[in-house]
Amino acid sequence: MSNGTQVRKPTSPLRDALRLFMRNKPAVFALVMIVLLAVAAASGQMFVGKAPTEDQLKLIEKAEVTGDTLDLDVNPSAVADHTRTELKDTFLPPFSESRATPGKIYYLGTDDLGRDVLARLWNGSSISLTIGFLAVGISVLLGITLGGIAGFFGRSRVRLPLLAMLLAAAAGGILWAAELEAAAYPLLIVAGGCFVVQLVMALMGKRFKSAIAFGVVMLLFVGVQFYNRGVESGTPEGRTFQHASLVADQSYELVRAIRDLGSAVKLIEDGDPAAISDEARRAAQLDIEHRQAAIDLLLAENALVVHEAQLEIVERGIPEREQRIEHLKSLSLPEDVKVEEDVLEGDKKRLEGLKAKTAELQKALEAARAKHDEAVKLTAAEVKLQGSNDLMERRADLRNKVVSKFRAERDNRFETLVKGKLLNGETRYGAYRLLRHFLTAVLLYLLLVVTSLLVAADSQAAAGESKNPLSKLFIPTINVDDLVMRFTEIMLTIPVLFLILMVLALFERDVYIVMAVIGLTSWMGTTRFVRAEILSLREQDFIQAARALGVSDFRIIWRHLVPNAISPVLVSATIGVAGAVLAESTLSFLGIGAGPDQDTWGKILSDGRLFLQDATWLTWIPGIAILITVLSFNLLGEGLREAFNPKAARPVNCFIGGQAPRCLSPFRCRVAR
Amino acid sequence: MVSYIVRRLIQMGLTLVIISVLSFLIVALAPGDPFASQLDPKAKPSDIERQRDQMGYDDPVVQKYIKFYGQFFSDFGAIVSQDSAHEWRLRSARTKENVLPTMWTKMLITLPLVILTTIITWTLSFPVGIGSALRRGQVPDRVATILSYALISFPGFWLAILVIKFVNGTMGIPVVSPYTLGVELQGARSFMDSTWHVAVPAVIGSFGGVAVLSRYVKGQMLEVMDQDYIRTAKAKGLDADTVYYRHALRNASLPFITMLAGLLPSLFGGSVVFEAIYAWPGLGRWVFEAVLAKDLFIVITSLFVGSALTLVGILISDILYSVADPRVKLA
Repeated sequence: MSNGTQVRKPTSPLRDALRLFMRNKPAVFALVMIVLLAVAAASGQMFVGKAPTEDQLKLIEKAEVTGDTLDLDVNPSAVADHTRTELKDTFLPPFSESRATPGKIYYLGTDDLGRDVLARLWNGSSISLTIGFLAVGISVLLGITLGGIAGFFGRSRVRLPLLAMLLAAAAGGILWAAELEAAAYPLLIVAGGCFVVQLVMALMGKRFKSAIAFGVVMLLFVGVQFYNRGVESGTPEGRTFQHASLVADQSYELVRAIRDLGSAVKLIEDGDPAAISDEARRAAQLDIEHRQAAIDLLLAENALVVHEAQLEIVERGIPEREQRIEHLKSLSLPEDVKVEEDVLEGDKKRLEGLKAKTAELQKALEAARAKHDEAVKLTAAEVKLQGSNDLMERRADLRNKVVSKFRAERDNRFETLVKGKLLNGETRYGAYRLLRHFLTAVLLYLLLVVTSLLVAADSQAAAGESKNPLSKLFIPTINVDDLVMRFTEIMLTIPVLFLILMVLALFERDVYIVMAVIGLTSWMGTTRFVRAEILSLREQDFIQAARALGVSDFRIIWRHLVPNAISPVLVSATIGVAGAVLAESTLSFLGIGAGPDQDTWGKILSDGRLFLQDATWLTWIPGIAILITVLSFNLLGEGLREAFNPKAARPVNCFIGGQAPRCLSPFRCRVAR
Repeated sequence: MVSYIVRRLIQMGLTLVIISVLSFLIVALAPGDPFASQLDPKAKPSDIERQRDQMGYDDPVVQKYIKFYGQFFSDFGAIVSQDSAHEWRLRSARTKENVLPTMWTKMLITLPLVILTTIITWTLSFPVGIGSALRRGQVPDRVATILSYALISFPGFWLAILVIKFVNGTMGIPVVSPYTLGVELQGARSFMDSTWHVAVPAVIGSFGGVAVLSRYVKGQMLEVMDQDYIRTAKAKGLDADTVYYRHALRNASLPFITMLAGLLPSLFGGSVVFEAIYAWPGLGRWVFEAVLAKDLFIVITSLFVGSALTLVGILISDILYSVADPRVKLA
């Protein structure tokens, strides 16, 4: 080939992007930093952890010889121990030698408890980066799914059974979570009915994929509820609560029965008081005794369960405290050891007391049960009274007497037994169960919405047009797009910080919950721009052409829409990681982020801020680590944006470089473009 | 226009109802007990029980919801109509303070800080953004870019602490809390004292906002300056200032009107973090403490008011947009 007709190599968009990216030096530098950080984070799990003590090392050596398996919570290959506190080494500046173990050098100094800052930072890097990636993963996944559905299937209408099912399931779920089961069940039955109708139509229309997807989600829904109940009865608190609520329910019923005095009064009223008044009195008396025995039995059961739960908790705490004493002894802190030993002593005494009490309660329970059984037998034998129907005045007179006496007794019993004992503390485990129900309901409901909206595009329209009489039910209602975007708007309107605070205040301090909450409250932006992206793509010629060729929806999505829409998502996700790392450090600063045994960078930084004047390295080192990480992700995101989008023509929801978002309005933007 | 606003108000009402239900459920179904954090050693269990009954704390959720919003709107009506004889009904479970009047006073404490932060953010970002757009790739632009990357990546609370250390420790000027406590100051000294106490947190708080907003302004200006009508204006022989400020900037600043929507709720919420660091007894900290103590009514009230203000801000910004840009029709 001559020089003049040199053929230009064909380039792919990906290769162009790579070339552009490589020219951007800050972005390449950021990528290198991120890779280094990722390596550090991954190796943190290998090299940093609880190093074994000498005794544990001996055990490990022995186990290697004998081939036993050891269940020690240590990492034998740990070169740095982030949990090790060495009070002789507090506040050592970087590059100083340890006083406790000569020859050991703290490259980044130690903190107020003598912990190695390098080890904490190294260990924290894996947690901090994982949080960043997972939070963004959740939000991107939710954002793409909802945005994709709204953009691609937006025009298809939600048919009546589906809408009814979603609304009824939402309302029923909320009522059910609020323990208003009587109101919830009809709604849940409506939802179930709608589900069955749709399933039948999908099967009749031979839409097997939709039917299977639908069925699987429903099975999940029901299965998880059952799993929840199983978990609940597994823990002592859960069991206590279950029993206590059962007791409360039953006792209320009994109290109501006593309050009505239905059977007792009716007996007297219907019978001839002159002839059978003694028997009536006796029957009524028996009735009351029966109820009394039942209440006593329930109270005994309740007390036993509560004490058993306490017993279990105290029992579990003792070995932990013993370990702590060992640890304190190894640190030679005699005062602390003494305090802990006193507490241990107290716990042991309490354990003895609880054991005795439990045995006592066991006996009381058996006695109450025997009494109850006897009362049941007696009442069954005696309540067989009938009589004629006259003598109004005498009857009224007698009734007044009996009723007033019974009423006094009932009031007394209600106050002292039920309100006094049952409502004081022991039944208040309810809230935890409510929250768990609520959260699972929300999560599964989201899954249900996503699946059913996907199904809506496929089988719903077909069902509406078939000749089946059931298809008259499938009236088109609102757009899928409207449904999804309204939900997004509502989520956008709620003040997110308060919501995060609220949810975090409810759980135990755990950084993975922080991650989930950050992810679940930050998907709205992604949804909005993925929807916009897909709306503009689906009108373009190549999509129309694919459609004219009869390519299926899912193939269009995978082959054309995803590759074209993925680059802005990638960019915003990269920048989102930076945001999540910063958000976590801020929450840790407020004291609601990481748990007590989790060393995230934000936590190390906020731990160090107390010693700002005296030990500057305690804040500067984690601060700079956060700064470098966040900066790297921001620069990488910017580099990716420029590489994918050389003219920067399309706005991305990133806050650097790109254009301002066109429309922040949570309502559908009616602004002319 | 009127019909548009009416329709939007109805829509907003529906959205608010849904939000009220959702936020009430999240808060009300959560475990935890505001009565548990009362540290009155004399309180007997029966007293606490009576308080619970009085507040209706153990009622079913639906009943609680109706009662709460009934009390809220009756108190809200009294604030609107300035009814001084009104008996406040919505009370905190923990401190027994009236929720809405306290919220108002806390808001007045937060307000100076938030207003100053907002003013600094908006007045700084526009010159910086326009400057770096006009001198794209030159030294000022690069400096601005590097600075905004650094400011965005800096953990805000750490920066705030470092600044306190510098201003308070090195310069010897107290800046924590709204004014210097325990010192009686007169006249100009008192004014300077308050100014320092407001200015330092406001400046630090606006750094992040300036970094973000100036990048938006830059991007927007660059986009507009590529348009044909700017080239036409230049070709007509208009001088550079007229082209940039009369033609380019006016069009470039349109999208920022939608950003005004976020101002109203931020006036309400302030910043929890900065109020915590600078010890401002403002609204953000009040709500934060209420959340930690599980003080149900304060939390729901602030969630509800915050959402309502967000909706109102959006409505106002949409209307402003249509006023500023005649091409936009509100339909």
